[in-house]
Parts: sequence; C-alpha cells; structure tokens
Amino acid sequence: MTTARELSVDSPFEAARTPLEASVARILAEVLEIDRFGRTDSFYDFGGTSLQAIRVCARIEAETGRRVQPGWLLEHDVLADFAARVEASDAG
Amino acid sequence: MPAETLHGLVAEHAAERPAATALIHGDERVSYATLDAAADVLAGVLARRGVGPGDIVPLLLPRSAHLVATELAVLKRGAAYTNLNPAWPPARRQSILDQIGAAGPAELPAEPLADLAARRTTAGADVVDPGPAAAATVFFTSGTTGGAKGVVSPHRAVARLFRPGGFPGFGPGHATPLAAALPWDMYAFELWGQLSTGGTSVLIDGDFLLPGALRDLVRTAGVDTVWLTTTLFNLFVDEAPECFDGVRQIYIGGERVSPGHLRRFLRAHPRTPVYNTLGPAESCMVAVWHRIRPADCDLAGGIPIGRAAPGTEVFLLGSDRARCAPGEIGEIYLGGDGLAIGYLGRPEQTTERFVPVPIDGRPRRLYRSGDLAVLDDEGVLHFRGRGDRQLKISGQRIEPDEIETAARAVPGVRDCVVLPITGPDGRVGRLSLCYLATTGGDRPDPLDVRGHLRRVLPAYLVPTTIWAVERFPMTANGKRDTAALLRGPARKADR
Repeated sequence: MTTARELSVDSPFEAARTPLEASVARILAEVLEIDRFGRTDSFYDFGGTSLQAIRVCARIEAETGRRVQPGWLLEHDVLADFAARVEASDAG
Repeated sequence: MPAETLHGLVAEHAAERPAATALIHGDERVSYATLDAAADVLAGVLARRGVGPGDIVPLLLPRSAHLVATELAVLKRGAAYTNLNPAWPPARRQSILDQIGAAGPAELPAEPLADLAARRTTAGADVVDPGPAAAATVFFTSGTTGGAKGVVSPHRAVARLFRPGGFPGFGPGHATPLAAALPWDMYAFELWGQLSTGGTSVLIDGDFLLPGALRDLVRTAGVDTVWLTTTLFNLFVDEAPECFDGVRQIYIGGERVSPGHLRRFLRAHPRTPVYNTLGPAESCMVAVWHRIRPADCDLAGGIPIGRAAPGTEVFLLGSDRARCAPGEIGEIYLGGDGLAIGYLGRPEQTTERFVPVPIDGRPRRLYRSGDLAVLDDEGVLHFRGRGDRQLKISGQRIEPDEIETAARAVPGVRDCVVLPITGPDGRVGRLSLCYLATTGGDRPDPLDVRGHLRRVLPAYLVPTTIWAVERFPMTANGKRDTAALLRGPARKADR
C-alpha cells in the first residue's frame, strides 16, 4: 500500500532557494509538525487542512507583514509556487 | 407594523436612514438606499424571468456586494436563495442543482450597484411580501444519505435572533465581518444580523478571515461584533491575540470551547463578552447561547452551552420524551421561530427529525437535534456529546455516513468505515477512512479512492488519511473494533 505521504517522502528533498522560501518552509514544517518542508513538497501530501493553511498564513503575516490568503496555499500547494505567490503580494 | 421579512426590514432601514452604510468591501461602501434600490432593479429582472414565491434560486457568485444585492432581490420576489460554493466539485454542485430542479445558477446583470440603483423608477415595484414563515434561504449541509441535504429556513428563523432585545452587537453603529463560507448558516448570521437591524456587514477579501485582516477591519470599517468558529478563535488567540483589540463582542461556536484559550483571552480582555453558541442549521444559526465567565473555564464538564437564544424554545427530553430533571442526560429538542420548514425534497427525513411533542399538554413541532446535554440547577445546559455519529471539525458538520456512501461507490471498494482522529487537545481534528477492497479484479489503491472522493465531495469531507485493510477487526461481541483500527493507522501515520 502506498500513501501520498510515502510518495512524497520518496521524492528527493529540495531545499528552499530564497530567504522568503526558507521562512515559508520553516513555518510550513512547524505547522504541519514535520522536520522539514522542501520547495517541491506539497502541502496536501503532509495532510494539510484548510485550518492549517490559515495558521500558516497568520504566521507569515506576523513575520513578514505581508497580507497572505489561505486560498493561495490551497491553490498553490507546492512550496515554490506558494512562495512565488506570496512574493507577488504587497508588503502590508 | 414593523416589517417581518428580511427584505422588508432592509427597505425600512433604507427609508429611515438611506445614507447609512449597509455593506463595506475594501474601498467600496454601499448605502442602504443604494443596496435596496439596486436589489429592486434586480428583482425586476427576476420578475420578468418568472421568479416568484416558492422558487429556490441557486447562486454561484463570489463574495461581493453584488452577491448580497442579488440575494436581496431574490427575497424581494418572495423566493429563497441558496449559495453554491465555487470550491465544491462540479458533481456536488450538480446534485444540488438537481435537487432544486434548476438548470444552472442564476445570472444577473453584473453592473456596479450604484448604476443598477440609478435605473430604478418605482421603489418596490416588483416586491412581494411572502410573510415571515416563507422560505428565505436553503443551507446545504452534510446528509446521512443521498449527499448534500438542503435545510429550508424561513425569514423569521433568520431575523429572530436580532429583534429588539435580542443578540447584542447588531444595528446602527455595529459592524461584522462577512467571512463565513457562503452556503453556511453563519453567513446568514453575519449578513442578515446586521442588515436586518440597520448595521454594517463587512465583506472580507478571499474566503478566510485572518488576524491581520480583523485588525484592519476594526480600524477601517468599525468592526466590533465578530463570529468565529471555536477552532478559529483558538487559532487567533494562539497566533495574534492583540487582533481582538477594539472588538466589543465575540460569538464562537461549532465545537467544544477550549477552556485554556478562553482563560487566556478573558485575562487579556476582561470586559469583552464571549458568547458560546450552539445551533444546527435546522434551528437557524444559534439555538442556545452562554456568556462565558472566567469561572466556567474550571468546570469539569466543560464550558456551558447556556440557555435558549432569542425567539428559540429549548427542551431537554429523555428517551420517553418527558422533560429531564437537573442532572439527567437528555436530548436537546428545539422549537420556536428558528425552526426550518424542513429538508428540501425529503419528506421522510423531515418527519423523522421534526416531530410533534406534547409540551405542557399542547403538541408542538420540535426538531430532534441529536445533541445530548444535561441541565444544572440554574437551568443552564451543558453539552454531553452526540447521540449519533455526526461530527464537527472546524465547525463544519460532517456525517460519516455520507463519506462512507461515497467511498462504497468507488469500484473495487467492498466496505469501509470513517474514523474520527482525536488530536492532543482531545478534539476531533481529522478523519481517517479504512476500506476493504474486493477480492480479485481491480483493487483500488488509496490514491484512487482519494481521487474519486475529491471528485464528489467537498474538501472538508475527504478524509486526510485513507488506508486499505485486509479485514475489519471485530470485538468479542461481534462489532467492528474501531479502537483497533485506529491504533493501526494512527501508529503508521506518525512521523
């Protein structure tokens, strides 16, 4: 039996490339209670829920002052895509 | 005589205080006069299409002032609206359209409200007064059988909580974020709570309220009355407790209250009332409420759920349907103006849940809520769980039967069971699905099952973990051993 989590764990880990990606990766790992979150990892593969998306965004707002919408993470569930969407948002 | 319908109440405010702000959305501010006039014009469009009393109009519009004007226009025609969620899979939206008997969601001229309002020639030309008992809105919620179940609620069920002497924090000078999911009854709470009393409803950007946005809306839109699911309230207290500065009353509900979060909140904001609320859509929005006192946080049985909300009757009845004495566990039966008309197109389920019960010798129509509770000596209710399998996660009502029915429809799934996974805080945080594949033929793997469920169920009903099992463990007395099932996957899911 294969679960999405195992599939994702099997794929190679790719570290964050920008400071923003690194911050978002750390917050994602904290909220999902996992060791690390790579830039090609998907929020859903770690069982991410909309409530966790809200918590992730609340922390990104508190740390960066940017306005972030949980819908962005639900739509762009891979870190590199989500971080790019956050990058494109105005600083609050 | 004051108006008794939602649109009648809005029209009254438009006549008395035309310039007062009804809606705020970002930089857009819509006065009562503009909202009412724009809705009159849209009602004219609906009238020419033959929309009238008894109709249900499905709407698939983004959170916007235009959506609110359209809802109001539907009400003005004596019809009821139902909001479809754009995030639902198309199959679920279609099943709801089929239940309504509609070809598709209504489409109306999407002009700015001021332009629509300017086209009005006669105020109220196409407005119908269907009376307070007529259907105003249909809430689709998780059903035990046959997919989404439509709860049909009348005008008075929505308006009752906010009549003079009702819930505090609504009316002129008050504002509430309009943040709840569009199909949900708490969307009606946030919207009609303010619009039926002359207050302001403040639409949020996107679909989720965050602490930063709340802080902004307090400052820029005068937000002072807030509804949050208990889960979201806890998250705000954890992440950014200062976001509540300036908020004057908070209504929470949908799940058991966490005493730790309340204690922390009340210590920092001793003068801000927090009301614990409980209410199924069938007794619209809120049925019982309780202002939480610091001492409640130390009660062994949890924070009380309180007493009947305005316009609501609450009875705690035993299995013989006699009233419970203090200390006896019973089921909550709800009556009064909050009651739904029934379930859309499901007369058997309506008769099963909305039952005649003699109270003090007089038969009354009451809703069997399935919520168990106990009364204390002061007549305050304390929640004691559910009499069935219904769950709440983040305030969303979930019927495991609906998920199991959907999973059994996946080719190759012979049987399955949905298990609630309890988090460290003792509350159900996610769902797990264990299924048994057919022997021989195609054996679906968990990703296939997930893919299928995603196509037919909204995201909140798709279990987070899905497991194939070789057999269902049984207890000594021949029942499915869910504890053993839970131990299996829970251990493997740990990292």
